[in-house]
Amino acid sequence: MRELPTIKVYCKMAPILYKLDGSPAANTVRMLADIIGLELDLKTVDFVKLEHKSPEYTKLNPLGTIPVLVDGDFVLSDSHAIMIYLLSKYGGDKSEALYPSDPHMRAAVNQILFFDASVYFIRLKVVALPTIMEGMKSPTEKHLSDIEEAYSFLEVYLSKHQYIACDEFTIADLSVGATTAGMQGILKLDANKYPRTFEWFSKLEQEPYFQKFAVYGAAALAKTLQLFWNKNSQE
Amino acid sequence: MSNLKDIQAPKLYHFNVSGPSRGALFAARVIGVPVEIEVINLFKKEQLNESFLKINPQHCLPTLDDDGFIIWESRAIACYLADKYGKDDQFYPKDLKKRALVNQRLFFDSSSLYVKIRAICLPILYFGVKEISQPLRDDLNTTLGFLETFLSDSEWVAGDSPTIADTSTYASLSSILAVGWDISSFPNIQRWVKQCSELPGAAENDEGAKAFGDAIKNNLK
Repeated sequence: MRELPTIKVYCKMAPILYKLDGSPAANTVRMLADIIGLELDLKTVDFVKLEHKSPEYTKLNPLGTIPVLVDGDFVLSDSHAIMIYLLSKYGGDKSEALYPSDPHMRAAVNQILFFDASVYFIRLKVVALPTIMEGMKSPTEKHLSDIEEAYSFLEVYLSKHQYIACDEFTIADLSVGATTAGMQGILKLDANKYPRTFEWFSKLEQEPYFQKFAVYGAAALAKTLQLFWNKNSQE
Repeated sequence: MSNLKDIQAPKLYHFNVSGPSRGALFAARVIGVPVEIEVINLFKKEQLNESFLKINPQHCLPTLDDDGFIIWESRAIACYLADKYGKDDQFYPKDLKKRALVNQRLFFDSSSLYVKIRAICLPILYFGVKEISQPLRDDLNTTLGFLETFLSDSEWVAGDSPTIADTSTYASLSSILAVGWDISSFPNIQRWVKQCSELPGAAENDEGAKAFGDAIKNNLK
């Protein structure tokens, strides 16, 4: 039997992404969109001006977190959930490689995504937010040792396989890669202590999309943090 | 034909005082997959034993061993068990938008709700802190306000039927409820807590949460 040709009808409007250049989470979604060739309608949320707490924004996302995706009438927050959604809907043949359906591989990718959400990114956030919002003068020893420990976890993951979740490049690399880029403004990765992580990160840095979003965004974040540390120390 | 008796139940390295560990077990209970439990006593630092470090060098609980496949992070375990052993997709829907919502809530629990509870409780359990500071209190109440919003829009955390987002969130929340947290200003959370208590595995979860709450209360002034 001959198959009927499939006609895909896409909404002409590109999905809207509320982002901030210095947000590693927003940058993971932008990198993914770049990789799958999806155009996003970008809207910047000015964090310092508290736009993420504005009524318009919290109506979309009560949590006030960045990024938020608006795809037609569907609104979704959390970069990890957004990546999985965008891949399933717009990823085409890239979807399988970046978020494998094999139960073991998928579980391994999810494990890293949840590690990023509940442990790794939090160790960046507990430095960045109090610096910008609460006048913190510098990261504490505990902040730095927690980041060191997190790097050592990455080293364990990367001693088992080529990429962070398995031997293939997946969305887990985008999440952890963007967070790692963001961390560099707080504590640089030491190539001697974490050789595999350093090698993995250097490999990511060679990718144009990683330069364009993660590295560029991390530089913006690092600059902001330094500015506030200087300012907060003078007050 | 495979003989059911030949199929080894997945093994869960578990400690019922740990919220995430209860979250994975609670998910297994609602999904209906039998698991073999091996207790790793965190109070005795058994997670640092050589034998467990070989299984999970990140030495966190829960950890699942499914016929040699090792995985940790409670919510990733819940997703895995639901996809692999669920009779249908009720607890982790396959529909694109429904699954996206469940995922969003799982990430909300892991990156926000659980993190705020951890920020309050870990220093009390392990670092000699004897009271809960006002900023940490406010921070958790703000997050509970978000959960209240979710639950005012739908019956369950991610829609109109229970999912692994509920079991995960409930495992987190029940820990702080056992400490005696006041949720009287969150009527929808109160309603949902009652709903959750009727799910299979809830009583078992509450037993562990009580042990957690007692340990915290014991260290408070």
